Amino acid sequence: MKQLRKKHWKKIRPFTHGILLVYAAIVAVPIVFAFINSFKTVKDIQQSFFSLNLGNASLKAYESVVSLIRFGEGLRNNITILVMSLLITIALGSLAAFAMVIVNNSLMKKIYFLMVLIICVPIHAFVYQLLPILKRLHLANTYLGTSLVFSSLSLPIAIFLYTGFMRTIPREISEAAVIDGCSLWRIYLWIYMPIMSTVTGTVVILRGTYIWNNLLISMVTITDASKTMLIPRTYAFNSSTYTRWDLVLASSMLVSAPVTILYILLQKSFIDGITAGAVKG
Amino acid sequence: MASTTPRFIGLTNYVNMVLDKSFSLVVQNSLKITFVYTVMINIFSLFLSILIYKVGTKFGNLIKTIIYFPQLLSMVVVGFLWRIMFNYNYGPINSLLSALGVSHDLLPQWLGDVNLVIPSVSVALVWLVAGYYAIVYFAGLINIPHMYYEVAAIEGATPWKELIHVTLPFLAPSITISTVLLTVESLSVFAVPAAMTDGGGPGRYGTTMALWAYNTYYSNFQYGKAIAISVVLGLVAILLAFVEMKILLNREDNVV
Repeated sequence: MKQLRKKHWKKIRPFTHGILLVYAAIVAVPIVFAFINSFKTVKDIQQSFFSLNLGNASLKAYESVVSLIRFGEGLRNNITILVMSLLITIALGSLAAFAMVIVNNSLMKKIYFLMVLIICVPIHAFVYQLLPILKRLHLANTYLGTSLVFSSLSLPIAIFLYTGFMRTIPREISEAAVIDGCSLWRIYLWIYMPIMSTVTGTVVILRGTYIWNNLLISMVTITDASKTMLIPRTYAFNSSTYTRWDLVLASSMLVSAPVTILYILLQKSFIDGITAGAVKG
Repeated sequence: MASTTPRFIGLTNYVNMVLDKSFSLVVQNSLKITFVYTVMINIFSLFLSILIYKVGTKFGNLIKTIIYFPQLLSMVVVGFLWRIMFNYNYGPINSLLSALGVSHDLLPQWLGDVNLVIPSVSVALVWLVAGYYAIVYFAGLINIPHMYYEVAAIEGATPWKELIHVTLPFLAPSITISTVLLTVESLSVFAVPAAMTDGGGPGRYGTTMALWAYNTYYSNFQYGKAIAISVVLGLVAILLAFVEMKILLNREDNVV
């Protein structure tokens, strides 16, 4: 019987590899060629997207994009908002999860359930009501206000992940620490957080790419042109997609470059991060 | 925009929304996208994950690394890429079709065709999302104890029976979570069609509810109506997620 099965699989195997290779090619080809074409002139791109003739290749499109959308300014805004949002998310998310796991009474269970429920609400349901609230708090048009919005959108998932993993730490460890005179703060900082480094990594990767790539939130919370993030600046090329393909492609490549470079360097952590998140989910 | 004080006008915004001639079209578009996400992407990524599981770690890891990548791109970038891919005159897809011998008059308009715009946007969305959920399902697959597959092999189960009686029951929790998350994500779809179709054209045939709310807010400055649309969208999402969770959790109890 086993031999029969093996034969069966041997027939299927090249087929399995084939399907996966074809799909991987479908995923990779648009990106690779978009990269190659971003160095060509509009005329060359439109003549043939798949031609590898780089005779007229130049960095002209990149130079125009950098000055047109003031890329440097956008990059600074992106990094500032990204770092602030992630710091707030990690600090508040892990603390909330710590409280839920340590206290674990019915109130905490209700709050946890509410958090999970909030994951099921799309941001479009409340994003347009944000600006009046931020204005009243004097946080409209500020990095802090935008970071607080991003953090509140990331907190449900962060709490969900941290709680899931903290529940696997045996209570005996913290009980023993308390008996030895260790304060709750120290248990959190020196016992829980080091064990949670994988979760922190997952939160940074999942929410970091979300914040970096987001279009809508900062468009609503920031109206001051000098403080806008990179993606709204890139989106400004929307109307020029008919004509200036070189600028559209170059801006797309520029804004994706930081995440792509991180992915190439740390691909294992990225994939492991989602896997860890998915198992707990 | 906060210069005038808000006035209570009852359900006027909701009435305006329903009476808008785009309303039923936009709702239909959103439902189509939700179908693509919860059914097509769900099944396709499950299929991909099983293939990745079968081909072994080395090749599987390479495939995972590639197919996850689109998830790291901004929806705006994805929209731009596929707008160029589907371009009627110079786009790579139509160049391939003409290279294959399709005559110029028969080349599809893709994003300019009212019937093809949602399918075209869906292609971009599958491309963007399937890899991520394939990895989510893969994480569930590697946690299935191997002995069940051994038993199935001894019993002489065909790959199909193995799927129905071993793989799917064990994956039930992953399927529940993925289906609910895919539903919510499908209702948030807005930047991809916005960038692909220049804000939801032709004639709103590429507009989803989330994009409609955005356009109502930013292009038409009808803040009240935009918020009415967004509230309805949120309620639909919660309702769908709740119903799916009820059904899928019941099934989970029955199979495991």
